[in-house]
Amino acid sequence: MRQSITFLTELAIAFFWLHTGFASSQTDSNSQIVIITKDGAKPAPLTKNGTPKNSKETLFLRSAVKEVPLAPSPQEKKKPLKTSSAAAQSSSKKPTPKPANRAQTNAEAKKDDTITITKKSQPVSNDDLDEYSDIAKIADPAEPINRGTFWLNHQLYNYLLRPASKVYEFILPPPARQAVRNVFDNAEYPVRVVNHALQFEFKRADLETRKFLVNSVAGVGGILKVSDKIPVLSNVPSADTAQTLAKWGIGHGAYVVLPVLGPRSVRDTVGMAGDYALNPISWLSYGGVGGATTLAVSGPSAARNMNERIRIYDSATKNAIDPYIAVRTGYIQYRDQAASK
Amino acid sequence: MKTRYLALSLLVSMTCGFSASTPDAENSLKKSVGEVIAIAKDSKSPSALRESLSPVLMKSINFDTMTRRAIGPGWRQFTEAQQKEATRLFSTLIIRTYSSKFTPGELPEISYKTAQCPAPGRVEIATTTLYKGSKYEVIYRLEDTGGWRITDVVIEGASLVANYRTQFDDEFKEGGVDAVLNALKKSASKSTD
Repeated sequence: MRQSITFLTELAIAFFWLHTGFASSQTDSNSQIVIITKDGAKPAPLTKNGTPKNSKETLFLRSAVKEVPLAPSPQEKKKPLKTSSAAAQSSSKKPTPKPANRAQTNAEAKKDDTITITKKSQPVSNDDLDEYSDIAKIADPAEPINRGTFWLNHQLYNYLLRPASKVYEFILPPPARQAVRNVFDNAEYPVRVVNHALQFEFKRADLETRKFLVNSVAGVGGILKVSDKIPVLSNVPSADTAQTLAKWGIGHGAYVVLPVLGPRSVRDTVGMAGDYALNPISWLSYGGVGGATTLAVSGPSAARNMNERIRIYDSATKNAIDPYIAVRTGYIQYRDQAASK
Repeated sequence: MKTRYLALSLLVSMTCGFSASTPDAENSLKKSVGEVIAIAKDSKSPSALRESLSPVLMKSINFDTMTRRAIGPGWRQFTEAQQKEATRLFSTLIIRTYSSKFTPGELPEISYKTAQCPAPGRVEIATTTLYKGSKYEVIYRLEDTGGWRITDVVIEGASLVANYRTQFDDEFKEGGVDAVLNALKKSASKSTD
């Protein structure tokens, strides 16, 4: 009975906390947390839960800076931005803190043995305008060279590979193209299963093996992707060597644009070598198979990849402001997501 | 103890659900996507497809929020007229980008996953899209600003808004508001057919 009462009380408190939190204003004038502006201390912007919002400002306890007069409220000082969305109305200009005031306050806080709170950075900025500031950052020390390679690849795609891709599409009707895609996806099974195992994802390695067996046997050598009809096998995440390196904690390294192959990070370039070694198609050239046969086997795979690559390339660059940056950002976001699976 | 946590988490999710009206967001997205697919099915050419899609996208996408976040804090230095101009040009680019992903007559198969509510007034709906033999993970981000509208589309981890943000950042650093507007004008006037 007593336990039930305690439980109900907890529920009531939680409900009250959630709703009062949501109902609270963006800046609570009675807040115990303040930021230092050129006009002195002012209440720190709070989230709807009553916790301080993420910002680059240093946060102080009010008691640590009580000698600094409070700044007038933002409504008195600032004209709100004229935008149509509610989200925009919540954003307001952040005054730049005056270094002298901030240093002085810090010194006084130390002298009084009061506590200062410095908020750690969080992935999502609280500033409505700055929500995307931390996304897709990668070092690009060789940008001038990369831009040169990017330009060369652009010419190559447009004047050589795109016409070749159209010929491939003309020769093979969509079902045949799908069959080629399926066969080569199936043949790349060792790349995926080895990397699942290296990432200690043994359940995925098991599912990948079942998928390979089903598609090879029921799908006639992988021509038909029968596994798509089996729910448990239809969504097994892919795995490659670069993803394994990412899961082992190795960072991207610098960004590079490789001739013909396009964007990579250093980690992905290393991973590509691993994938090549694990891909049965590339084993042909080491197995005494003649050059013409190897080309005949790997040709459709290259065409399949080329078609896909051109489609993604067009999608990223056609309406870009700066196609080089667009491809770099898109590529790094895509790889980050693959590594997080 | 387990029941207690379950009840508390249920309470939190219910509060999120009540304030965010997740089903409303899902219905809104499904309605918009349905309209887009119907148009893509009947269109005869890429330019006709773009023309027909434009009103649907204007209604379903919150271009004000999208433009503001794509430009970032530099947005505050735009005058009201410049903000309107930037939003108009950016809308043109987004409509063109979105339309270019469809080939008239070839229709995607879309399956919806359970919607997430990352914050009050925000919903993320993940989908799996099968198109031209390839499978893509597409996440739609919607916000309630007097009706649920799309504020970002994330395709295979690549956010449309983040992608433009990195491009605008460089323009803004080099030449401020004018550089951003000029770059937008240049891109919006490019012929892509």
